[in-house]
Amino acid sequence: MTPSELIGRVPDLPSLPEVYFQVDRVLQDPDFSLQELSEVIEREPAIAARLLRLANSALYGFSGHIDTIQRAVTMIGSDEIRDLILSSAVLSAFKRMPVGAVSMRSFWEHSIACGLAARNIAALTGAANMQRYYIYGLLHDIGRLVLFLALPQRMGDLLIRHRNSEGHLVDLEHDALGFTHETVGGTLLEGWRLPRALVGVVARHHCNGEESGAGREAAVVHFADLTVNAMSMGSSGTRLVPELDERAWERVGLEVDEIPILCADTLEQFENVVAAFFD
Amino acid sequence: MDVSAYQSNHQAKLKQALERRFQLAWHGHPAVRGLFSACLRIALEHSRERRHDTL
Repeated sequence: MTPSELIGRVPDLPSLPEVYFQVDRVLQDPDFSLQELSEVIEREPAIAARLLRLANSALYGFSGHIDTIQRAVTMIGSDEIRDLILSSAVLSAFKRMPVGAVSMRSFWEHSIACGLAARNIAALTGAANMQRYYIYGLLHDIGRLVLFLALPQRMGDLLIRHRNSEGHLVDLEHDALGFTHETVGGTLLEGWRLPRALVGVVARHHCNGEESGAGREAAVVHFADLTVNAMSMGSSGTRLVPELDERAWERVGLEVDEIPILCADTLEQFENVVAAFFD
Repeated sequence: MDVSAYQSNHQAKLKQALERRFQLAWHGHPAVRGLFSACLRIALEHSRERRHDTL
């Protein structure tokens, strides 16, 4: 079975809401107006409301000062708004699907925490476009959700083996299926026509040495994933801290004495941002 | 058991739980050691805060 065939086996696999593509189309026009962009978003009240909650959350630090979509776009920026809509849309699309083996809430808590940690690493290391790292981290394990939905019994067995300390879940996936949740996630996002940079990060976030072709963004998400697993912030199934890829660590550019700051910042933002997503 | 014995027993349990979580990640890399120390410090601080709240 290939990753594409596996994705095809998920019953009623959600697609991205049209509002994401509409916003994307508006932003392709170099002469777009804020009014036009805001109107497109406001046609989806649930997404608009969550967008306002996120804009006022610890993700940006404007607490309570953003009361309209137009103001949110002005303060946060249009590309960032597109990423927030994407994150909100993906979470909504999967929210009601039963996964059985893991708690959906815990899965998204892990994803949100990884997004925050990735963004904090980007900030600590002075990366360009640091806000983009949030969406990289948020979606890094989306392929595992597909695996749980497509192969509930088989993934349940792998989880038991993992919890009996027989190995990392990602390695058990590879042994059982011939591919991992990274490839499945990359294939899913490619099918959704999402940006190649995002697809690349999701498809290579465990890094696995030089031959993986993982870039700095994937390396940042890799260490963010280690960090939030170490702090037990939600879970996408694994209970163990993944193995550090040393070459990835070198690409991240973080200093060891910055790790406590990374952990403290991520923890401080976590509950507030989770509440903005779920309330 | 006196308070200090209880505290050191509690700290040992927190450390053991963290070591279990790190069991397949631990290979002596400074970044992994740094992450372990940061997590242990946070766990101990939270544990102290919880005890303080209870009292």
